[in-house]
Amino acid sequence: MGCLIGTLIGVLPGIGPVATLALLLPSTFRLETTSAIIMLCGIYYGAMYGGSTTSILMNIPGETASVVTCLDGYQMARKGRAGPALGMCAFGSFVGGTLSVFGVIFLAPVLSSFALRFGAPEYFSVMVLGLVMVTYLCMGSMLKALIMTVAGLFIAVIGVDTITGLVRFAGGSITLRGGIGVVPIAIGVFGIGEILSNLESGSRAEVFKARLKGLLPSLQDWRDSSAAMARGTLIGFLLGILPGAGTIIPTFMSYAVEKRISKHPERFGTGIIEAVAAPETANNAATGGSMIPLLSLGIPTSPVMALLLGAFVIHGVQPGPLLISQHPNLFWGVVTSMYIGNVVLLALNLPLIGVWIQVLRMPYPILVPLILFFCIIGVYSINSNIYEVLIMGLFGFAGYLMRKFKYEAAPFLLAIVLGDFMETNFRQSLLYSEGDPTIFFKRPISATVLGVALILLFLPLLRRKKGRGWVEKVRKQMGDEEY
Amino acid sequence: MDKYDRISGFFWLLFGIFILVGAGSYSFGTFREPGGGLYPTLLGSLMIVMAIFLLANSSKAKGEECPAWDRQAGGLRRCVLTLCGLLIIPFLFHIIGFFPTMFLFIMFMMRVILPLPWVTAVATSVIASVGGYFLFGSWLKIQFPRGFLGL
Repeated sequence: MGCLIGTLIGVLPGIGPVATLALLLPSTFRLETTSAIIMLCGIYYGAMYGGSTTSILMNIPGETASVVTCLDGYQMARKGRAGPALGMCAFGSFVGGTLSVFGVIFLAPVLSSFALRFGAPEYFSVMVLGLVMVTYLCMGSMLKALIMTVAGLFIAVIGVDTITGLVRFAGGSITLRGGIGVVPIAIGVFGIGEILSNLESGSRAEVFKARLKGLLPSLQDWRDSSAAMARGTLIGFLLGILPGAGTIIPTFMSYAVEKRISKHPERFGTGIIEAVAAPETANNAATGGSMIPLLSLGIPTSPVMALLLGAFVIHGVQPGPLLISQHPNLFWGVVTSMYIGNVVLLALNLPLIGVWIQVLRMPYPILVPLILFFCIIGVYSINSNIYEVLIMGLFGFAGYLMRKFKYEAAPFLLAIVLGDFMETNFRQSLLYSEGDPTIFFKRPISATVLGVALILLFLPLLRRKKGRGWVEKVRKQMGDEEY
Repeated sequence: MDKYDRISGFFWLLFGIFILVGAGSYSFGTFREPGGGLYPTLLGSLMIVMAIFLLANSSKAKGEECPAWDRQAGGLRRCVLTLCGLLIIPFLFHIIGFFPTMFLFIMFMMRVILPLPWVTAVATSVIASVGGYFLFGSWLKIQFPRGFLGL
């Protein structure tokens, strides 16, 4: 069910996995914890796959990780090979997702037992690294991303202080006393902000009109793609584990690697199957990899994982080193669901591609009010609080301005999710060290992690002339649109 | 972007000052016993420092592109009206009820913002609000505000 709904929402242009998860999170509140988390994971995999469909058929990425798929996927569609492109996306996603499950099975328990050595300073340092990585890897200005991070950390301060019980920055509002929820902010900044931008630009997407012929890739397609899929899996999985890498970096990296080692690099961008297979495989392998820090450390490495962490907490489960021992059913249920989800996606998407195309042909003026309707119901149903709908609207406006002024929303959302946990660990570290702020550099794990974070923070200053070279490359390929 | 970076830089500077002033009303404590005001004070100070950096950089970034505001094709009007609708509807929920409000909102979107024929607008609004009522209200038992119509 999660895969089906996730794909259905994920194929809608402009609604990526973050918005999809945020929209559908409230629908899982009445489910039992394990079922709810498994359903959300299914929604995530489905949304990731759904994004590729719009890339190939409309040349519009359903989510940022599908940007690379546009390059060759749409060209294949124009050549009448949309079927094999979509089919290879489904197979590639299946291969990448399935192999990454084995990685999770072996690595998550190892990392969990290592994380048992973590105290408050280590957790604080790892969260600092996660936030710095997100700002380092963002497409726009790093200074602006850092500003968004601090703004997000401040939003997380609003409400009751978990250590002293003091109400801070609530201004007498009962709604703000409990803090501002992640879901109204996520739906506002990502969903409403995107819709407002689209309404202003009046963008209309054309669905590729040619008839789909044969979904299954030929034997030659398989020969061309199999090695690319293997490399895509490895790149996606390893980069997916890193905080902040998300799914966009692995897809670009795998595309770049394929182009670099290809005997015919000039054919990239003209519609070749390995250029579709590699990023799509990396994309899904990265989703598996990003589950490892979340399940074993309780630290989300991307906004999607931040929302999943929020879902865990809402359902009364705190992911972390003790998750496997305290909630084995949940942990292994999620791992098993990752495998089953990939099988279901393959089984669903091959026969349903025609249906997704019909969904994409629904007129945008009808789609927009319906999306807003579901956003409002989704936000209201969390706490039955009308003021959260107002908060969603206000953050929608903020999201629209962020797009205009080129501020990225990902560090903002991640900071909001981590903020409370980060402040608690920061203050606990000070209490534990009897007021010694150098505690973060006195403990080896914490010092190493913070050292890496500081290097990443100051690297752009040291390499001022060169800047973040890869960012420039990605910007050029994306036509300066997506950041 | 220089002008717009300057505008946003000033906004963040004021925001940082707001955080610092607000944090002043809570106990700062000491590093040995940190109070509720310590962390926001650090965040406010960081925000001010970064806003100053942004303002300083904005004077160097001349000639870069500015955000486009679509005033002529009605894009900005569509955007502003949708935003106003979103900000007004929460106050109507308790007066005329959740689903009647949603019916009116979808109608407003389809007739005023994204002009569609009356038949399409009415049909879509009725299907969405009645469907939503049965799906979320009757089946999932979510408590929605009821207005004077009792819906």
